Amino acid sequence: MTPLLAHIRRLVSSWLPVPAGACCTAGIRAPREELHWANSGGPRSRIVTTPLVSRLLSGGSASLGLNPGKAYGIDPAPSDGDWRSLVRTLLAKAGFNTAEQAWHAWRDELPEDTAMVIDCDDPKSREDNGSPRANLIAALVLGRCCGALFSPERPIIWSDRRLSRHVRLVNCDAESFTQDDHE
Amino acid sequence: MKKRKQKQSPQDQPDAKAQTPVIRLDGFPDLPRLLPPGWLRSLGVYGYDEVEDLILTALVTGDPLLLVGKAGTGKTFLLNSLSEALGLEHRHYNASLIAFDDLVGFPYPEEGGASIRYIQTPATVWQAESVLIDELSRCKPEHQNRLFSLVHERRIQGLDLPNLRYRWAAMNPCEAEDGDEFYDGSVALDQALADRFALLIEVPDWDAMTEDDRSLVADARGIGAISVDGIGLVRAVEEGRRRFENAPDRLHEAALTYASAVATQLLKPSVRLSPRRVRLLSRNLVASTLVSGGVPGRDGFYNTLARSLPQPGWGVRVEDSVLRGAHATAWDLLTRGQESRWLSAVLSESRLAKRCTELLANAPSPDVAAMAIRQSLVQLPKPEAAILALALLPVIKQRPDDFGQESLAAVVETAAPVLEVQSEAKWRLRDGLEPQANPHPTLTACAAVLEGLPPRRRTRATQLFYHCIAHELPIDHPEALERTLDETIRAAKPFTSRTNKP
Repeated sequence: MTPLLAHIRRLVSSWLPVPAGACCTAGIRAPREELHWANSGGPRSRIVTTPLVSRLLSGGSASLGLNPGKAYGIDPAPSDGDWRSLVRTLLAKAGFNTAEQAWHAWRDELPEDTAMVIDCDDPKSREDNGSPRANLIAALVLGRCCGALFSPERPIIWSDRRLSRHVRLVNCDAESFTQDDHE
Repeated sequence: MKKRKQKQSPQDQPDAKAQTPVIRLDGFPDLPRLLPPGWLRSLGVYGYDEVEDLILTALVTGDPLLLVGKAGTGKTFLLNSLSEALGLEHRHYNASLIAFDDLVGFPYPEEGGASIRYIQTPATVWQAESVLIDELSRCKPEHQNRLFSLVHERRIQGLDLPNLRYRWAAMNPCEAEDGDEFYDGSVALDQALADRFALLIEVPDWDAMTEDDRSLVADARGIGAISVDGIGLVRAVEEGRRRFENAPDRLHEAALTYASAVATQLLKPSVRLSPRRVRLLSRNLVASTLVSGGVPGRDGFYNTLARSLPQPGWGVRVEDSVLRGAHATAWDLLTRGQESRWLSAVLSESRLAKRCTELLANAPSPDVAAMAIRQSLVQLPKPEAAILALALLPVIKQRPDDFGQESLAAVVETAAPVLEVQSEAKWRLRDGLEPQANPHPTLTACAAVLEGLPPRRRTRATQLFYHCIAHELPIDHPEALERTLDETIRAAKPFTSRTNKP
């Protein structure tokens, strides 16, 4: 330490508050230089973060047999926020009385197997063209999506919450998922 | 029910029991049947397939057996053939003609006149190993009382019969006094005597036999042939006794629970079972289960129950519907208890791989499996719940009918966030330290574990570690956690094939 710096330090030290006794023990603040920051109100540590991203459902994993399938969503959203009315109108225009009737008629275009569901907020991820037919198909699928599960065995339930989702179905191949590395 | 020269091998017979779906309790050791189905055919006895396990049961327990049936249905033939095949010193008495001296011999005073001895003849009972009292229902009441101690205590005139192993009796029905089935002179047994027979088996008549069996019974060839033990009957009885003496406590408990419940249920329609009868029923259930394979079965328990009632001995018929109702209630009680025990055992299993196998392999029903899965996912620490969900996911998704939609939903809800991590790891750094030089401590420890793993295993472990770190779940020992994940996935793997159903 140069004489000039030592002088400045002595000057500044006289302005700083005297450290509290409890914080002045050698165990807590061993380096003498740090004593000057004790009880001064300044942070002594900070939270740091690092991204943690590994998306096997949306990105797929060939080795674990996770295969992302089609995305479904109703687009555009109804201006009045009434998703159910929108879908019922689509159903009626398509000539169906019930959702189950529509499912039965269009079952060739609908997923047959149980799948996992992930939300995909990016509308660009959808492959359909947003036509009334595509929207009704999306409504039928969304009606059978409950949380992270799509099951064709479940009843079609249309709620605003369900219908407002944009989802992608992900198939899981059981044997690949549990396959050993040495097989 | 006659004897033929050319006896059929039991293996040649259609195995009707094997084709019938059997509902059984889980968790009991599977033992081989003592004898193959149709074993009585090897003794030239046909049409008894339905009751042959219970006849073998009586041989195993050595408890008194009473056959009830119409004239000419082969009761006497069956019991005499059994004694021949077992190589027993046998006595066959006709109770309607018997004089008590025939049983004990002629009495004479010993020298000094202090006691009485009996002159033994080939017909006296003293050296007998098996006794058949035929036409028991035609016996004079005073003789019934004397036979009582023979049946009940293996004693006569107050003296032990140490060689006597089997006490058998046969009689015609005594219930229908107003029709063709009336047997003149066949009177109801004293209830106390009837209650001493552990098994009272009503034997089948012509109308209950198949065409093939009728032909075999009607064929006169072979009458008078000696019955020999060509199928290992002696060995099977010895093995049965060994099993019976070492019967597991759990089997005794199941039989006791069932027998007590049946007795209680039968009180309502006024069908009384004495406490001794409940104990005999319990013994019969244990022995018949061990005879037929070691695992209690719903149909097997019913058959044993139906043949353990003393009422046919005094001419009372218990309605089949009444008996089936009591049986259904008792069996439900037994299986409910089993479900509860299974659930408790699964939820207290701390080894995750073992718990996974138990859930997938041994659940008593889809409902209970679903309950165990949902409770496990809630009860386990979150990292372990995530592991269990990852392991169960492929199997349950493949077979939702076996585990229920609700358990599938619960598993998916837990597994999906593990497979899709988009978050950040947070940690606290002292001022002046650089994150690059001082990375997330848990992440660093996990990375060290991941480094040495093969690709698939690493992918699965990465997801688990990332999920835990993103949700700030504690990972005290990353290596142990990864090992648990791998073991649990391996435990689930055999069940991913559709051929392996629980």
